[in-house]
Amino acid sequence: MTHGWWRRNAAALAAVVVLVPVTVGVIAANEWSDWDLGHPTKATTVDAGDSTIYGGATIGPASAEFTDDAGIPPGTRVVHATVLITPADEPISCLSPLLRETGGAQRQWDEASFELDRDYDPSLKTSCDSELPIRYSLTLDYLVPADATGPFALELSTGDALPQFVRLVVEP
Amino acid sequence: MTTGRDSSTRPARTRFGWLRAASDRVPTRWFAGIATALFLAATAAFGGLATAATPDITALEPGDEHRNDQVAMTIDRAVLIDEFEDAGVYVEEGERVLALLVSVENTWDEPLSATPDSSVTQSLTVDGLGDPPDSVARYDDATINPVLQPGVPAQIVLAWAVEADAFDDAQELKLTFNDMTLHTGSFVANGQWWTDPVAAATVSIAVEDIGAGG
Amino acid sequence: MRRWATWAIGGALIVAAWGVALITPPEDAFERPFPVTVGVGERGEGRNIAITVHEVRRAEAASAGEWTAEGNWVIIDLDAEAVISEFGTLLSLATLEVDGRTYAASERPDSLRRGSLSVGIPRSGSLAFELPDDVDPADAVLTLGLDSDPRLDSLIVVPIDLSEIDVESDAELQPSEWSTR
Repeated sequence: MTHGWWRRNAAALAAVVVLVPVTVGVIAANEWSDWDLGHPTKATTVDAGDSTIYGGATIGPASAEFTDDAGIPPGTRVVHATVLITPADEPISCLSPLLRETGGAQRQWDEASFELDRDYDPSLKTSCDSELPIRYSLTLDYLVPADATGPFALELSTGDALPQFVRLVVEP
Repeated sequence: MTTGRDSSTRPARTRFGWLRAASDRVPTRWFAGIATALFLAATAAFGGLATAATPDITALEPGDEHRNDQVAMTIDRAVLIDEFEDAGVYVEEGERVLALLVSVENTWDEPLSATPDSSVTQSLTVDGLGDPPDSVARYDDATINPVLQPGVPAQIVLAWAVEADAFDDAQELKLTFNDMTLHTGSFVANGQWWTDPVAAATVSIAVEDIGAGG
Repeated sequence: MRRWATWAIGGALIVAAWGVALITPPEDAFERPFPVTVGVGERGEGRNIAITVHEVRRAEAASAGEWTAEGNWVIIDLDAEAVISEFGTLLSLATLEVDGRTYAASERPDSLRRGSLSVGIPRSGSLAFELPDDVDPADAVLTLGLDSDPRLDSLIVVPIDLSEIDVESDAELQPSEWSTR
């Protein structure tokens, strides 16, 4: 490839250098967007004590505290959280929010009211009530190891509003 | 062509002159004839153009084992029973349960899952029953959809919910053992699995009507 | 070019091609799992799974609650926990490889097989493996993971010498519960 070859083909080579990464990017974005749209990927972070409008309801404020429970193993404690849900026109439905650390490895815990050995109280809700149009609270318990000191974020999402989801920061 | 000249001074266009001279000597008109003759010779060497003979299907007795690279199966009993919930099958009005008690051993070297539409149940077909079993369970501890560990024999029950009058007492049930082939996934598929059932042996067993059980 | 130079270069290229063929990874290398090998008693930590095998027992009969069965049983007592996320996290892969054959943890008793794991909080329990009666196992490899498809995730691998373990007449599986260690 002599010097003349480079000069003669400069425009074509420049086009290749630009277009190949752009093509890869466009194809990747296209393939990922399907998955992206069906999963909670775009977060709205809400500071401790604030609320936000999401999925047609006001979510928050949320608060949390560390508590103990009778049957928990040594070296663990319970994060007891409450989230206020105020539906607007229609009830909102959601699965139990996940608890995630905001720092460190960002570990994630599942709602654990069922695992903690306590009597079943039907008035305590751990996930959104899809039929209740008036204000209610979610009462959530998470079993975390002692080295999880927070702050945490409660991640809540409703199917209709995906990929948007809400992160309510709590500092127990 | 090129005689007595040093190769470093040979001009470019006759560099491959010797090759051209050689290829001129090959009788290109005869290529088709030579290729056909080679093809026929190879075919004859591999057994000719006749269809390959299918392997014989052995006729076995109940209690005889049929062994292949995947499983070793023996039919122990075939019963007709009113209900058999322990085997995981539920009947509706006018239905009874046809259950096959089979001794199985996994002769492969990976675990095999015996679910109703698995390669284990595809290894055994029943004449007159087109569908796979409604449930598969271990006979000793009633584990549903058992996993067969390599080399560990187990007695399993294959159960179908059938019409109450579909089978009679002492009716001969013709069963076929199928040999499967181990397929290794490639390109888009991953792993190994057994597929392609081919009939290899048959067994005839009399159905016992045991009424309500016992 | 001199004739000897041509031959030397040709020979060197053949050797180089042979070398490249030798070091080329196999076709499935880009999808291999990431094994973490530890011994019995040590904690092995992968991406989202951490296992400590405490004891390996062998018995002629295994029991778990009301269930009991005879056979050539290998019972592994272990602690298992998740590391970064517990949503849908189960101990789905538990195999014991002995002598070229792979055995899966038995689904017959209640055990840690397919048990759900918690982040930072170990669960203790047992896994039971049913081996053929005529197999007298020596070296075995226990592999544990989160998915029966192990590609591209961590696996905890524990080599075990089963010949050193005496065969008891009966062994009870430990109940699945929070670890107290």
